[in-house]
Amino acid sequence: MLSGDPGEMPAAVSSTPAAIDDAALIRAAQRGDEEAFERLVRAHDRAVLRLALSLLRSPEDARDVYQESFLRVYRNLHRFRHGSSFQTWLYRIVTNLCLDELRKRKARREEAAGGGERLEMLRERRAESDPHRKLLSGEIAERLEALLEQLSFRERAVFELRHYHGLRLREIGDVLGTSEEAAKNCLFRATQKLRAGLGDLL
Amino acid sequence: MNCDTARERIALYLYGELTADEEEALTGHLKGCRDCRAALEAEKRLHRLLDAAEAMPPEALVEECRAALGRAISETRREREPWGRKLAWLPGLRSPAWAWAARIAVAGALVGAGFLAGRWTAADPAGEPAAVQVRYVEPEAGGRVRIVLDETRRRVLEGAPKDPQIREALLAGVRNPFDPGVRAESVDLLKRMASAAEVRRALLYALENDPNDGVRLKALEGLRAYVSEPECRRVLSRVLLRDRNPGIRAKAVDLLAGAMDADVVGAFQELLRFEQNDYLRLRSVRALEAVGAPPETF
Repeated sequence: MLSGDPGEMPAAVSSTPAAIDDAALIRAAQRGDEEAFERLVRAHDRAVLRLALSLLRSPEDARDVYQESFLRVYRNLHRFRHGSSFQTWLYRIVTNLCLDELRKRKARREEAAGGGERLEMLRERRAESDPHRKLLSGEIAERLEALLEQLSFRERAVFELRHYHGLRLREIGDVLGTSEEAAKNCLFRATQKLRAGLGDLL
Repeated sequence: MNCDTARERIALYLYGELTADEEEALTGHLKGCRDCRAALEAEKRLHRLLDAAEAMPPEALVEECRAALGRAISETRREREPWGRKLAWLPGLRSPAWAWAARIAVAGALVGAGFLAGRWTAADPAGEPAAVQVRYVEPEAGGRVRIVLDETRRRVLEGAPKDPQIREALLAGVRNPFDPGVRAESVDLLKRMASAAEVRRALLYALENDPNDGVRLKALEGLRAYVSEPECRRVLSRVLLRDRNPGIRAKAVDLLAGAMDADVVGAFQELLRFEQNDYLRLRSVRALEAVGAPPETF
């Protein structure tokens, strides 16, 4: 069975403004409004791409995951249950596809970097457009990248979703198909490793 | 609370993930413990560092993904929907901006500069844009903003089908992914000009790839006189085995039966392994018998 089965709808219910917008767009898209579907994609696709890039460290693979994720959403949107969280559903699809990709890579015994374009070359640091953030030197960024690469998939996913995507641990548990407590432990371990690796800078 | 527990909880505290009781216990401990307060400050510095390292995917990659997704969705729709429902994609209905991106990308890949596929013809500086897509919005210094627009303009071309410009537009029309009506008209006009290799390539493409039965049938008719060409036979052999429409498979059998070679024999033998249609089976067996080939492979 394909992972990221969109049939398993998350239980989490969100009532943030973004979630309310999603609900209206999803309803319209379910009625066949292509423009609404496109707006739904555009509301989430940067986050999806960011997540896939962070988890896979390969732009080529992230592109594939982006496309397959939204195609699954497109094909299964009619099954989406209102009252559940679209974001949780979408992120579940994305993380499962990323995990599948990493398993395939492992099977192929490939380097995690994939031998493709360097991730750092493709990601635009916000620091460049924000003078307050220019303090972060390339060297620190590289150390951080190296530390993140050492995290397990689950630790990285939990950290990424909590720190950069703002999901609550309960929602992250839903996304990753685990408990809130397990997600909490992952977050704890991830920050501990980052703290240990960057200790001299803190 | 001891210091070990406090240190463990500081990380979750900054994420707002402690229960009210846990938070109260931690803040109580922090008030009386300088070392743990220092640890909290260090944790805040870690967060600032992580925030500063936040990277967003480049816009070019986002746009690339969107255009590819638009194409993939169009493909999915073509595979899933019966012919009639595709009428929703006839012009006049507003289509999503990414469909435009996909159209432009497809057209750009197929024809030279200055031409866009089918009815979405080349830009006319004097005309009103038929579709506008905001590509980038870039805030600039002094409260100004720079906006990059992709505009698609409509232009009317008139002339004989053989005019180079018209023919080029018709060739693009064959590959218009959104409008079977445009493809059908384009193929119908082009099939009278199949003596040109470029036109035959377009017809072969339509015969093998077009999701619409009518378009494929017209393309096949246009190729009738060229079955002696190896490429034409190769495509017809694939059509014979893969086309979902038995009427089109039957026409392919009829054409190929008059142009048997080793590959065609193989295709007929392969067909006999799976084909359910009695007429097609009979025609294939006869065609094989006519050249002394066995109906089965062993």
